[in-house]
Amino acid sequence: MSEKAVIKKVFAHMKKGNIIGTRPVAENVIKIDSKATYSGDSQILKYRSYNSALTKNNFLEILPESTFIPPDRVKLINSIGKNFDLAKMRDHRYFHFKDNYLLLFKDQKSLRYYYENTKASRINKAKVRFEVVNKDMDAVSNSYRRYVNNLLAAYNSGGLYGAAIKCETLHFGSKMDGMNLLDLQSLIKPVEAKSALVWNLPDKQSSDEVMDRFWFYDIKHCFKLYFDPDLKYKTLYYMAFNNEAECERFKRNFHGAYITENDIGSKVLIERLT
Amino acid sequence: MKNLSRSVHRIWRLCIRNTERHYSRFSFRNRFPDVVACKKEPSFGRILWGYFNAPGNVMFVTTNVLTLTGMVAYSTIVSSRRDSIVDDRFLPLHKRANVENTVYKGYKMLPQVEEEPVPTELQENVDEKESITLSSEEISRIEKSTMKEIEKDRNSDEKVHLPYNVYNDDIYFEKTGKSCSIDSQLVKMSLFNLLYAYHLYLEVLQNNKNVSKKDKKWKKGTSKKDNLWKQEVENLQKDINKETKKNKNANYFYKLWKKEFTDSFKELSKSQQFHFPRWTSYPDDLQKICEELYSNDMETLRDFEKFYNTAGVSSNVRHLLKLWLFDYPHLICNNNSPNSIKKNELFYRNLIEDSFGNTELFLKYSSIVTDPFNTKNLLFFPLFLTSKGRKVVVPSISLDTLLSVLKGFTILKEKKGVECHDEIVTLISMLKTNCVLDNNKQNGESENSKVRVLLLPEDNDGQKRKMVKKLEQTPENEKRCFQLVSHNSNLVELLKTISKW
Repeated sequence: MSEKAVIKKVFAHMKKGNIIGTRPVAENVIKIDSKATYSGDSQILKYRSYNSALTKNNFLEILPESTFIPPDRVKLINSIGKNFDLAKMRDHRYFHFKDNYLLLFKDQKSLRYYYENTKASRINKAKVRFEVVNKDMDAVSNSYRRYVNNLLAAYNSGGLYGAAIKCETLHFGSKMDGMNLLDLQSLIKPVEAKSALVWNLPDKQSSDEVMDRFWFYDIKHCFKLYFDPDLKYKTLYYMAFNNEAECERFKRNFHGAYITENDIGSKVLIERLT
Repeated sequence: MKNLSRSVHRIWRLCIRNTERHYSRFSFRNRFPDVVACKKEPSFGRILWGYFNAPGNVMFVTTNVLTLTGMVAYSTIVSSRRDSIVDDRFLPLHKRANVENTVYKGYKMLPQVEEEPVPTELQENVDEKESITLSSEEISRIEKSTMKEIEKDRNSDEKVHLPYNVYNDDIYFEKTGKSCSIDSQLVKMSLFNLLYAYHLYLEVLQNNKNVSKKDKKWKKGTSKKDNLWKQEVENLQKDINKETKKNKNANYFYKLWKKEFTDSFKELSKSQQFHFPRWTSYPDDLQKICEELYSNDMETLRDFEKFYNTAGVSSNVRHLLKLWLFDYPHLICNNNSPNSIKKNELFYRNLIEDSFGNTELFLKYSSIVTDPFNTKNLLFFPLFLTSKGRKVVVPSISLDTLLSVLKGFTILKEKKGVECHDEIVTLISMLKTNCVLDNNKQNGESENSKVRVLLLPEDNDGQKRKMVKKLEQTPENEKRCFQLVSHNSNLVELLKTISKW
């Protein structure tokens, strides 16, 4: 074997993410079907973070094998990427982020693989600590189900949302019957992509006036979720768009914009639900 | 009197006749002038009636009246229709707006009902106040009760659902590693990767016997974790024949490494996420390197020099570091503080003297001086300062630096037989034309150190002269400068050896 071949072999080995110390356990490479320390029947990992901007890619990048793969190609190369999806835990009434991510796995094998291999990894320099959702599975599932129901109602109309948050039974319960969290996530994903929360629009405007104001964007409908009686301008609107691109455009153009009316103004803050 | 009245009547008659003739040629009176003439005093009403009675005038008046009525009718129809449209479209909107603003009472939000807007208590109260006059006592009672309700709501805040998270002293932050600039993070990432790969490659190339000797050393630590490195090496050694050449050429290794990994280090997000793996199972020298790299800031050339001196125990590692620095000088910032200026140049001299034996490396580093277009010179050499303290965008080197480069070329020629006439000629011509006396130097320093050689581009002689003029060099200074250069014993020796070739 020539010198070049040896060097190439070492490089190829390293490029697969096999650098000693990046994986926490004695066996340097854990295979998907190998036995691991974690046992249980849950398929959900919970990750706590105040940062609401993490994406699925962020969670794929922390796997040691994607160390040398460019971020845009991580999704394609990583086989584990096909086996899980990311859901953000959101409030069922106002849809704001509740500081927790859910990693929904298709099977326990991939969960185990992911859990063991990311023990020494970091997101934004902080060691990741995943919590296996086992005991409070029902609570998590119910709250997610309720959120999905309310968001579907809100995307349909303001009236339906009002009714949905009022009554205990789920309006879309029949639709969601027999679905696990992964199915629910794929059901709500397109709706989340077309929804936005908007803080601090003038409080004396009606929904139609808001829509007239932003006529340039393809807004399906919008309504006020909340306003603070003590603070003027402290309002929260839900906006439903007819397509995803419009929602993104709206956020890009108005997030942080200063809107004044009658000499009082405030910064509009926009959060997409994706 | 009678005569007077008669004359007046006559005039009046004539007047009437004239007007009648003039205004209504086809009028009744015109046809029967005698009838008119027989009436002595025609009244104003009659005249008016006469006027209207004329057939043409009747037509005119009637058409006017008809048009006017038509217009009025049309405008009323149009305006009434518009009113009805406005009522239909905007009145419900207005009503809805009122309902919305009252229905959502802040944190005590009530759900909105779509079809029938629910009249709120507030609205009812307002209506009552308008319709029925309440006594002042009653008003104050109502106000008090509403205030109480609001207070209740505030006190029971915990139960109330809010659209944002409320944190009560339980904010938890994970411990994070050191934060540093993007460039230094990139430096650390690529240097770690380079040195890790090189150490692994060296171990893989080792004979099995050698490995077993080292193995004994490791087993003193006796832990499974310590054997991770050994396992890795054995894994990689599986397919390697024993006859593999043990070349260990750092140059060749570096070339391949650069080709393989340059693209991986372009991603800023990757460098942002980079952190050191646990290095406890690494061999001792690699552990030391990791420790030093971790604790070093890697911001300036001084930091790199520190790392180079402590980590570069073996000549091969030093070689790799030199090659790396030549390719990635942009990641390291040149600290131009007066203390480090001198040390930066000294470090360059160290690097050059270290690489005397290696042709490729020496040619690379000497090109920083011989090629004036090489921008890497800004990393090592300070910009020249005029007597007024103004900076000129020309880097300058000391006479000693130039001499050590020249010495390197003579060694190359004598030991390795590499011909480098052009470079030697450039260096000597630089001595001739680019020498400047630096008056900013303190008195304590030797006069030799006052001589600076400018690294000027050789494009145009005119430009060069202008540049030198800018430096405000007096003829006396120039003379003194040449004197110092010609009396330099090292230079004289070098020139002697060159002239013998």
